[in-house]
Amino acid sequence: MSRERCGRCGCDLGAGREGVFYCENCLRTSRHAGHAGMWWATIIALILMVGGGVTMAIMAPKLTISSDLRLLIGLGLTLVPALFWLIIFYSADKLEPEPKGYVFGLFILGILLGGAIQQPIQRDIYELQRWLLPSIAGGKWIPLVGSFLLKGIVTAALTYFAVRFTVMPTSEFDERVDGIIYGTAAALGLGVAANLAYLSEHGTISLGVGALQIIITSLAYASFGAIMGYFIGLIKPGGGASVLAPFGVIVTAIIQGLYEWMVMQMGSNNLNYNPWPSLIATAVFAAVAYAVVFILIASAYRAMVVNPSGKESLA
Amino acid sequence: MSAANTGVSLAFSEQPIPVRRSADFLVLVILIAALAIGWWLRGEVLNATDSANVADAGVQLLVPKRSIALPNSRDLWAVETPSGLRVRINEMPLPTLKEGQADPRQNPLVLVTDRALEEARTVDMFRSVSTAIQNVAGVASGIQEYLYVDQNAAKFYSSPLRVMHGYEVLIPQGDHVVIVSLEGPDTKWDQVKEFWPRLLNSLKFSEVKK
Repeated sequence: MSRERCGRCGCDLGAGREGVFYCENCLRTSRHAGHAGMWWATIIALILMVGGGVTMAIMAPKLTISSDLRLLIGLGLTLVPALFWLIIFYSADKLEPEPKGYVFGLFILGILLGGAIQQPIQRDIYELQRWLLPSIAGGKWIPLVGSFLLKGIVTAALTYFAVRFTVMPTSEFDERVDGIIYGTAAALGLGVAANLAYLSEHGTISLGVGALQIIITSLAYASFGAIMGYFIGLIKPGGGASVLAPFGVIVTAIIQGLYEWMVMQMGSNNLNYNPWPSLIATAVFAAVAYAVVFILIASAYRAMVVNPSGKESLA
Repeated sequence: MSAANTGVSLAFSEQPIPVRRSADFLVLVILIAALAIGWWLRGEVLNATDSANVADAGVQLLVPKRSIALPNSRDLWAVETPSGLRVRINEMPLPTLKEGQADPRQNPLVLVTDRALEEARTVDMFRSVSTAIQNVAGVASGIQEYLYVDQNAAKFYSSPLRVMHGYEVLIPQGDHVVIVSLEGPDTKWDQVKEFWPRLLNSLKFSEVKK
């Protein structure tokens, strides 16, 4: 009978099983390696992004900026937060970091899938911008159900297929947390495509709340991808049932549907439009989703830790 | 196996681990079901209409759902949808037949010309794009596609122009002409074109109770 060895130090972990496992000692060591530095870098970058966004929102009406410069700033706002979240989620995979080429490749694939499939479906075929609005659809149910079906399911399914038919069959995809990393990368690409579609439609962006909305959208997409990826990780290295894939798609779609509905609902008072409540609410929602993702990552790690005695640790 | 040694990317050089196809199939089924239900939902919203009865003009017609009456418009009756489409109803007297002039009932384009000149005096930069004759509710009627600038005169030069693009039909009824217009901002022209045939087909006329 084959023996399982720690994926990092090689110590004996008992009977063999599918996927890569680690000893508690290696997990503890990796958790502390660069831990404080990473958290500080995250906090400082977050403050810079949110502070910059808020400053822009307040100062923008007083500034005179050419439309070309606005477009450049818009492109920067689309790509920089996405790459930032990608680095943050990538850094969370401390035990056995995934090949950077794979992660970046999925990010690019996400952009391509978003530009070639998701955005044409949502904007050109379904014309969501025409009818998926509370003021036009009327009531709350149609925008909520429409967001769940046409935004949530489409994003989650594309994230699943992007991971499933690229990295999932390779032997690199051997930890539960890998699903989260790759899912995040693919979904962030889809989020960039959504923001780029917005830019190409409007030619330029409002440097006020529009900038903040783009930053929050990036975080939200990263979180949706991570949640979908968590379920993907449960299937392959985790050895879970196939039904976890559609279940993950539905759970992720419900969360995204709620998020999109909040964005629409709170900013739809067309007579006295005030974007701030919507912005604050979506930021809080995205932050909660972000926290949930880190809980899922911790849970995925716990599932990969085995005591040298051979029993999986549930601590 | 080292990708660097083989010159092949890692993804293709490594032995794939089998993944269950049933998971892919289930996700695909959910995606297709979501798209199908979403399409039905789209139709429910975009094709939804309310019927309206304009007693003052003796006209019954379909208007887009959730249209709101515009009490302060210059029209006999007008409603606007949340997306900015307007349905307007007006009347004008049937011109007196002069010698050598075509009968407007036989050639409704005469009515269209009169209407275009009248509108050009009323709104900014009115332009008649095209005209046609069509049978509406069993009556030969004049149709025109038009454009004008819908703008507060005080802000005319300081804000972007809002160009309105629409169709209107002029239908002779007894001693007067009923004018039904469907218009919207130029950016919503596709929606105007899409709804216009439905509006024309829904038009019914009755005796006006004065």
